[in-house]
Amino acid sequence: MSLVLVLLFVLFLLMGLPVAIVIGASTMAALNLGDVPLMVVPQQMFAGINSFALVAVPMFVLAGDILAQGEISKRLIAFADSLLGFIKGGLSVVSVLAGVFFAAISGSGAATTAAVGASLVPELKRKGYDPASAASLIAAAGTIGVVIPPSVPMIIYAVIAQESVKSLFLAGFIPGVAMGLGLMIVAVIQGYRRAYPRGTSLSLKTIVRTFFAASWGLMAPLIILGGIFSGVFTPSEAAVVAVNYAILVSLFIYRDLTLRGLYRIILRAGVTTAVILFVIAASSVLSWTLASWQVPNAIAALALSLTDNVFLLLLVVMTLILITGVFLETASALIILTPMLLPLAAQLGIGTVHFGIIIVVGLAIGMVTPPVAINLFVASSTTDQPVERIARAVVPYLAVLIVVYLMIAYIPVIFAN
Amino acid sequence: MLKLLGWVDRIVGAVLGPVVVAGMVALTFVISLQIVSRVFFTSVTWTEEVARFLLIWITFLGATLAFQQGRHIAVQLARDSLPDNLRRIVIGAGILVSITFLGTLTWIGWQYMDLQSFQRSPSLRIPMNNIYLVMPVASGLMAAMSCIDLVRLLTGDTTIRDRMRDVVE
Repeated sequence: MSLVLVLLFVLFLLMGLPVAIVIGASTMAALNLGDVPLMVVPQQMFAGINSFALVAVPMFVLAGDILAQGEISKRLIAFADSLLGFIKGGLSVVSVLAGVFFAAISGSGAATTAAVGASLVPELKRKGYDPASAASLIAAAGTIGVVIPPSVPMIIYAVIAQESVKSLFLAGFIPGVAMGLGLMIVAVIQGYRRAYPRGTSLSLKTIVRTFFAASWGLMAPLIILGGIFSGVFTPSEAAVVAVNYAILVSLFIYRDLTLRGLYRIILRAGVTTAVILFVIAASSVLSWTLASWQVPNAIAALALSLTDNVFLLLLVVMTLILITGVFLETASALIILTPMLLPLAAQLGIGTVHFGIIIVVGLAIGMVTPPVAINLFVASSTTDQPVERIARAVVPYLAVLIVVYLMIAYIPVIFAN
Repeated sequence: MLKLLGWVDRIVGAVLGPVVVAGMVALTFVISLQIVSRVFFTSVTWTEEVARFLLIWITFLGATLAFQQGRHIAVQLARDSLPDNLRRIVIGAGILVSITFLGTLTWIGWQYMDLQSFQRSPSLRIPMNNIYLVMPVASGLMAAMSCIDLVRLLTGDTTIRDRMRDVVE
């Protein structure tokens, strides 16, 4: 039956069916062959999404979408520019810093890429930066969006692994900043090699001015994350506070959002999350089925029977995560991998939170590796550069992200607290 | 005939859009109420329950809307590299798989709803079949749209929902 499930899964996936239907149909067929009453299907589908923690998903997507458009993102980027624009190739370093800022507001990689890309790429082009390379750097910095809290994948992981969203959020900071620093180093080296211009010269006056101009945007992460970590709000409540804040600022302070535009953003956020949550619902049936066949434990036992070298096994697990991230979209990959690998991770002595960071960062890297590379697609559509060129230019950034990934996994003292 | 089907298809999309938006607005409102009441007055107990139920409805109806717009996540690289005739066969087979799955889901979703008709939600005492109703409705609609796709494919109409769309546009 496991074999039927795997074969049908791969077949349906290659046929180009929607991932939720791939998962649902292959699981249902296997259950039916095993004479399991199909009533578990609706039961598990509802159980999978009947969770208050998951309410944070549509709300963080919505808040991020509102904050990503218009004035707020422009001012944040101006502030980032005043801080780091003076470096050679400064504008590309600024695009990474802007990605880090945005990561603290938005919970998705695509939204971060779109926000930074839309406002910075015209400027980068005008100053003579290679457009494909600039777009690929912004796509790579977009991966930080799901590592620095808030993070939609971390919420999904927390729900599956029954871990607290708050602990995962806390553990995301240092890895996210490390990814940003890694990308900045590559950007500076390229800046010297390609003799890119310096941008805004460093001046305290400009920093103070742009800081105050950007204060409404900078306050957002303070409210969201401060509220969660101080225990005033649950993550789901904080997400709703963020939505209210974003709407108020955009409608009444910057006045760059019309009600009509708001309606469109809400609709898009609703559909985006429904797509993710529908995959979660279908995957709950799959996870239930695999658990009832004891597959996760079998995987752990099999892996440990091959070698007891923790270092090596972790490397295998990470490779598996990276490969899955190349071919599957983040949420689906997360929902399938987490329940399968958790028992093994526990046997290897990796804590649930640390493993969550490993899996989220690994899948985030998948956002810039074709064929399924959402950040590259978003960067391509916001910059009008062909995906192939961006994909080629992303290689050095990809390399540095993988180095940081190894550090995150193997130096838990620094990266998982 | 085809025109009529296309029209039915678009109506589904036009109706579901405002419903999903209303669900999102209600979700925001309910949790805002939860925060305000807890911070300033005594906390109300029913808001979490309502929020979870809203999330279930948004998920299923939003998924139906995404289906209508061809926006579900799919890996279509392998399929699209096939020669044209073979590709049409694979698309057709895929539609049949979808119809079988969604049709079955409609049927068992309806049975499940029937089974739970005596259950009530813990806090508000809402009959649970009101919440579970969304599964047969959504999968029934998606199955119907798959049937429309099949008719379109057989008649050689090219407006099939097989555009590769990423999640965020």
